[in-house]
This record gives sequence, structure tokens and C-alpha cells, in this order.
Amino acid sequence: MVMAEGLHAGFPSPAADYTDRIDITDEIIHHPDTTFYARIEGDSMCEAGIRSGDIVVIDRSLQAGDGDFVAAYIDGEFTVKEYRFDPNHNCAWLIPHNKQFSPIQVTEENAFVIWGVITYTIHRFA
Amino acid sequence: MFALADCNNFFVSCERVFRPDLRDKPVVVLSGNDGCVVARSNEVKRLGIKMGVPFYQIQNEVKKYGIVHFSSNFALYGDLSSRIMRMLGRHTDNLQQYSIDEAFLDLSHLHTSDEQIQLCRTLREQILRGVGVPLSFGIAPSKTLCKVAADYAKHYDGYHGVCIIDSDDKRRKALADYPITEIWGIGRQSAAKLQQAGITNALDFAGHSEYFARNLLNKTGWETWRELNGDPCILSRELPAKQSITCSRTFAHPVSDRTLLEQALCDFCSNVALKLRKQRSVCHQMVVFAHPSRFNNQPQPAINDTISFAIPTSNTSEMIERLLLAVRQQWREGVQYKRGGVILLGIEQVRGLQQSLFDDRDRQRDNRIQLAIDKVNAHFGKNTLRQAVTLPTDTKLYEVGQKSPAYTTNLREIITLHV
Repeated sequence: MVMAEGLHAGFPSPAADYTDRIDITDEIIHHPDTTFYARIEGDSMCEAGIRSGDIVVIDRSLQAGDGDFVAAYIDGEFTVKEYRFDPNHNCAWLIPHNKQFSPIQVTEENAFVIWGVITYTIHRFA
Repeated sequence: MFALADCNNFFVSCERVFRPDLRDKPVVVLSGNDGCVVARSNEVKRLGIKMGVPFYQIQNEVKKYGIVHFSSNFALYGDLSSRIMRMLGRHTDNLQQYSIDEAFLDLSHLHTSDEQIQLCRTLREQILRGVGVPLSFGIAPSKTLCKVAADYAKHYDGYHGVCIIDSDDKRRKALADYPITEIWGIGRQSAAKLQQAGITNALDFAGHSEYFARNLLNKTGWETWRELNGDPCILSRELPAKQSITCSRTFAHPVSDRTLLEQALCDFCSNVALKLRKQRSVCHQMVVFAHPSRFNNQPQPAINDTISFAIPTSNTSEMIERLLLAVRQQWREGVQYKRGGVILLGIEQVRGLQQSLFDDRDRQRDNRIQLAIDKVNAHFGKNTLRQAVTLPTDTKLYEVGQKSPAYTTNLREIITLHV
């Protein structure tokens, strides 16, 4: 396979990317094709360590289980809460992690979608 | 057997991933430059609004039904497309991407219909949950029949997104209700000839003799006849163009060396870029892919990236630069790649000043011009030059849609979660 003449000018340096450095994305992203990011705004999850300004990593391929933190869409808004399923009352709960907020009950009346499961939060200190 | 994986209303579905509130709302996506409808939600299709209609012509419907409109967000569509293609590619030895939202899967490693249906159901479920885009699958012995099956899967809820043509009975039933004008590979002219001969549906056509098909139609028409009769003859030839230019090849020996793979892909890239310039076009997107062979039947990671150009381009060095960045990010040590290629999408004619610039087909001169343009861009900023050379001279008389954020490709534009 021969490349056409004169095309070498725009090549990035071939030495630039032969490194074995730790790549943190490999560690925190297990399913790159189904992973998305979102910015957090608000304090309802601050006691769980998800704080305003954080970037959360969301894996959509994971099935949300009881007690998972989820990115959910409810009645026109995206939010992040702990997900609790309540089979006895045929409903679910979105539990905030901040005493100043109350749990949200989710019934069939609500427009509700679990958008993905939160796997990491990235918080900036400095 | 093959399967066609076809994303439903792809651009609209991409917008809805990040706007769950639009799930049941009428939505259109408009082309970037001229404000024509290029994607419609089912709600919009039901209103009778046609593909390609200029947006200003449907202003009444927009107001009356509250149609939500977006400008094309190629960065978003390209990224979601690559995710989907990579997910599909993990389950077949041979994935043939046909457009930004369609791909053929070779299912010859699955021997029963049940296994084939099960795989497609699983893929559909995985992609719907994992990416958020709904797909339809058509399984059949030939690619043309796959198209027919996928259409049934898309239009009838009873199939749950997967339709298979695996018997002559099913093939006949499917073709009997399939209008001649809808058949893949039958253009307007061929359709008119067939209609003159009294043929209205696909079964009529397939039921005529091979001699008839060969005499009345061109080579594509004859191949289509064979395909409708279950004889897969569209294998390696370039698939009927759908606003795309493809160069892809199966390597004589699987390639694991990165430099060798890069050289091959750059070679493909300069081929398609030259074709693009020869037809005086530019492209918005370039798909680069390399599919691995299955090692001990273990799925290996494929390379698949959809590169979006903010400014549509035909510039070889710019395209190769982006291609190499993508390949270097996704190439994995030890993977044996057995097929690679480059597909250009979102192709449009060069307009205005640019047209005269690219009249000359001399490569050296092209490169000098490309270099000069790059220098000017670097100095004055890309947007200025783009407006000067690519904007149509007539001003826009209509309001175009709001472009959605680059949710997945720009960290400053990711969604915000209010908690």
C-alpha cells in the first residue's frame, strides 16, 4: 500500500502517542459506547458526594438496581437521585442525599424514565 | 443470511435522546445550509409532510401542530452513529456500513432463524437502552430482501423491530404487498418501465423470467431481480450510492501493525477525497473503520469513528489528519484487523467562490490552494473564511431551527442535571 506523494505535510508526529502512561478513562469507563457525561447543578445529593459543578459519568447500559444513583427524567426535568423500588406500593422513590430535600414518589402518573446509572463523579478541588 | 440494522428516524431519534420531553412530539431536523426537512418523526410523517420539503413551506403546520425543529447537529449524529456501529460490529465478522444510520451484518455464523432473530433482538434492546436510539432489523438471504424485511419491521409494531424472511412463503407474502417504486435499487426510470409492463408490486417483478428482467433493465435491475428471488449477488460491489462515497477493502492478510493499517486507511482516504473533489463536492462527515477478525470467536474491538467537519471539506490533508487522530485513539495492540475503509457522508456541491477555486484538478495545485486556505483559516479564524467562501449569496428568508448542543463531543455542552 503506497500513499500518495505530498500528503505527509499534515501528519501529527508519529512519536507523540507511543506512551504507556496510565489512562484514567480506561479505569472509569467500562462501556465507552454507552457512557455519557453530565454536569451537576444543585445540592440535593451533596451528602452522597455528588456536588454542584461535578461531572458525573453515566453508563446507560447498566440496569438500574435498588440503591443505585441514577440520572432520571421526571415530569420535564433531568435529575440525579438514589433509586428505590417499592414493590409493595407499586411505585418507586427518588431519594435525595441532603436532609433539606424530601424523597420524590414516582407512580404511573409521572412521566418517568431512568436515563442511566451514575458510575462516577468527577469533583474538582484545585 | 444477512441482517440490515436501520435506525428509525435517526436524526430525530438522536435529538430525542437528550430531550425525553420530545418523545411523542412532532419533530423535524433541517439540513444545515438550505433549511429543508431531512428527518421527520413518525408524528410528522403522519401529517403528510414529505422528506426534503423546504421548511418555509410548512410554516402553517409548524404553528398548528407545534412541530419542534432543529438544525442538523452532525457532531451529535456522528458520535451516536459510531457508538451504534461499534456495538453492531462486535457481533458479526463483516459489518458493512451503508450510511450514517444503516449497516448490513453478515449472519453466516448463525445457523438457525431463532439464533438470528435472537441476536437482532438483543442488539436492538442493547442499543435502545445503551444509546437511546431505536432500530429496526430485517433478516433475509439477500440484502435487497433485508431492506424489504426492515421496512416491515419498521412499520408494523407486531414485529417488535425484527422481521425475518426465511421461507419462500414469507418472501412471497412480503413482496406481494411491496410496491415496485419502493424496491431498493429500482430507480425512477426502471420503476416506470416496469409499471408500463403492468408490474406494480415486487412479487410480480420477481415472478417474471430472468430473461425479462435482464432485457428490460440495466445490470442493477437484473441484480435486484436475483436478490428478490433470494439469490444474494450484491456482495462486495459498492452499494447503491446514497449520498456517500466509499472506499473499503478486505485485507489479503489480517493487519495488526498500526503503521500498515494507517497507511491503508490513508490510501482509502485520499482515494475518496479525490473522487469528492472531482465531482466538485465537499463532505460534512467521514466514517473511518477497521473491523477485526474474530479471534477464537471472541469479539475484538473494532475501530469506528465518525468524524464531523464543522466546515465541509474535500481537503485531503485535513481529512487524513483527522483520520489518523481517530485511528490512533481506537487502535488496539494485538488486534488483527481484516477489513478497513473510509466512507464520506453529508456530501454537497461546492457553492459560490469555492467552485472556481476547485475547477482545477491538478493535485499539486489543489494542495497548494488547500494549504493557502488552511493558512488563512489559521490566521483569521475559521468562521470568517467559511462565511466568505461557502455561504450562498441569497440570504435566508426563513427561520431555521435551533441547533442542539454537542452533548457528547464537547465537555462544555454536556447536559446539566438539576439535583
